[in-house]
Amino acid sequence: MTTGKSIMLRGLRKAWGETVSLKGIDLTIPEGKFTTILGPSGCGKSTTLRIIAGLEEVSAGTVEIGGEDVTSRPASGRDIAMVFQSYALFPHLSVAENIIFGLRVRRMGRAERDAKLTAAADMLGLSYLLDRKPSQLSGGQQQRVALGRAIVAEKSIFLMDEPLSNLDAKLRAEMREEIRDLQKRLGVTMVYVTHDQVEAVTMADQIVLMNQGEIEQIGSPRQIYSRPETLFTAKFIGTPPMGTCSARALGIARDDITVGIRPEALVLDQNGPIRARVGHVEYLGADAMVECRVGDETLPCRISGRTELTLGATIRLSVARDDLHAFDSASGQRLDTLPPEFAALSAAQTTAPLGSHASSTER
Amino acid sequence: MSYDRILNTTAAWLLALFWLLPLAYAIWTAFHPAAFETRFEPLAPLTLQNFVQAWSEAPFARYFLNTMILVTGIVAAQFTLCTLAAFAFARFEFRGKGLMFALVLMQLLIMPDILIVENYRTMSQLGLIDTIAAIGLPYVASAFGIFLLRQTFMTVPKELDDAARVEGCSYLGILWRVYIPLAKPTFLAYGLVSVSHHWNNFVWPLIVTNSVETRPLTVGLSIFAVTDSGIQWSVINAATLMTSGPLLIAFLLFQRQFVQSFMRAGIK
Ligand SMILES: Nc1ncnc2c1ncn2[C@@H]1O[C@H](COP(=O)(O)OP(=O)(O)OP(=O)(O)O)[C@@H](O)[C@H]1O
Ligand SMILES: [Mg+2]
Repeated sequence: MTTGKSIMLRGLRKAWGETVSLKGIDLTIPEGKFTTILGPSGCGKSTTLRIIAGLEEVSAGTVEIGGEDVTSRPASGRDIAMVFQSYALFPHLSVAENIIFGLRVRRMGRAERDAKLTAAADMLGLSYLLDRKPSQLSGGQQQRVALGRAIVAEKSIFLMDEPLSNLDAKLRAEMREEIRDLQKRLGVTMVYVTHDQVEAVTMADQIVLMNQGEIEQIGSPRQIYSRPETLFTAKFIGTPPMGTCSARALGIARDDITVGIRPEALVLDQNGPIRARVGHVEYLGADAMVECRVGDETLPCRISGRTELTLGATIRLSVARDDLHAFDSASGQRLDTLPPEFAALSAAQTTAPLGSHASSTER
Repeated sequence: MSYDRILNTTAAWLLALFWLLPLAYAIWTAFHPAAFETRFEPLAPLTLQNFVQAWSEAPFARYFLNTMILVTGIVAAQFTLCTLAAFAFARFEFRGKGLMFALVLMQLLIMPDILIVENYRTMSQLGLIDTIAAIGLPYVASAFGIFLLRQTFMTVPKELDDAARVEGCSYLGILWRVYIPLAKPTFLAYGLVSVSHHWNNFVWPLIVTNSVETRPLTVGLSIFAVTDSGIQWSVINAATLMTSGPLLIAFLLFQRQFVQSFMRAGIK
């Protein structure tokens, strides 16, 4: 059985002529853990992964795998296996030949090759498909063949670039679990690129959030969700994303601060310090999303679906101190400590907040 | 059936008939005694005598051998050279790539016949006049082949290339295990075009060869038809059938695969 290796990227830069797609990436990926690289389209996720794989050359910086500098080593010498978005199955080869492709290239003996093929095919439930061509398989089956090829290679690191984006929602959920299990069982280091935050949050031990060629934040899903370090992170993670407004809209006399509050952290409270008017209400069944107008800005709020609010009504809201996020408006950086002006916002909290079910409208 | 369809079908049949007429005449005369050259009696006696006579009156066995060597040599060399060049053009970045490809394309526009004199000079400088190599050499760096294979290689998804690289293939390994298998229909189609072209090529071999040991079938046949037999059409036609026969039979046998290959390779 293989054990994972750590990956370390130092001062990684990548430019194609004028376009700079990585602007200095420093990143440590711990061994044996599941790391997802998350970010919007075009932020440089694939480029980072391909540089780790050795499929792309760096413009500056180094790549270390398992403590060794591999920056100038070819892909095959880096102890990595890779699964591509399109699965990259060879259309002229059968499923079996696709899985053992790399073993053939390495001239492994027939007996050993067959044993590995059988083991991998059993593990993935592909045994009855071995003679088919890739074009005769469903998307999920093709995905499994690609996984099979990575498994038989017995490498320490698995790199995956949006491997589930071509599958339908149900299959995607299944495969998510399967890939997570596989990583645990094999003990490999997984680097998984995705632009889907649900995937990142459900699978990862560590999320690396990227934006425009730079790393915004590295942390566990919980950390990233509960303590976003930048405005970008705050707005990118969570469905629906965190609401933000200027401090002034909440009655705080500071112009340099943007406040972020997650929709579920904002609760209806008769004595709440935040006054808002009800905007559009989107009923979702179990709960409803309310656009709360504070000043001339909007904060989304998630309330119970049973609560009925009338458009234009005035409501009062409160928020726990821990759920208040303050960011520097100019740099987007999180403020480590809430400025004293914010005391007023969470003061009313001590007076028994109502359950979010109860209506607290006043006219 | 619409008027249009009828017209189309009729035209197609007429064309096919006109195309077949000389062939039918050749077959008729080749299998009948000389007396029936211009008399078409359904019950005329059949004979193989014309073939025997043609075979014995000129060294056709040697000509066949020469043509076989020539054609297999050319196709093998073209496949090797064009594959490597096409791979470079399709998947590598290097200085002067654009200019070099433009030069290749320019060769496509030039009629090979224009270059006969220049080619002759080159061959004589190389000391290759009157060798089989001299017949083939000018055609080896085929612009058509390079262009065709490059187009095919460019359709191979980049991720397949990457996947093979991750699995440890060298560049030549990737070419061999990924690009060539995926370009099989193109190779087949191009191979057929090349074989038939060089099997039938006449002017250039006529110029650079002048001995039995090097002459291909086409040239051998023309010499046979002019000098030896006067105007004995039956024998000449027997020889003609003999020389074009193998190609014709091969085409009829593999017709279906060839047509499919042409479709897939995008040559129509
Ligand atoms: N071969 C290339 N030549 C020039 N620019 C490139 C090349 N590959 C990527 N880029 C640029 O680098 C940037 C990052 O691309 P990359 O593929 O890493 O994005 P990504 O985060 O994977 O996006 P997506 O989610 O859409 O896959 C993009 O702006 C892209 O245009
Ligand atoms: Mg990508």
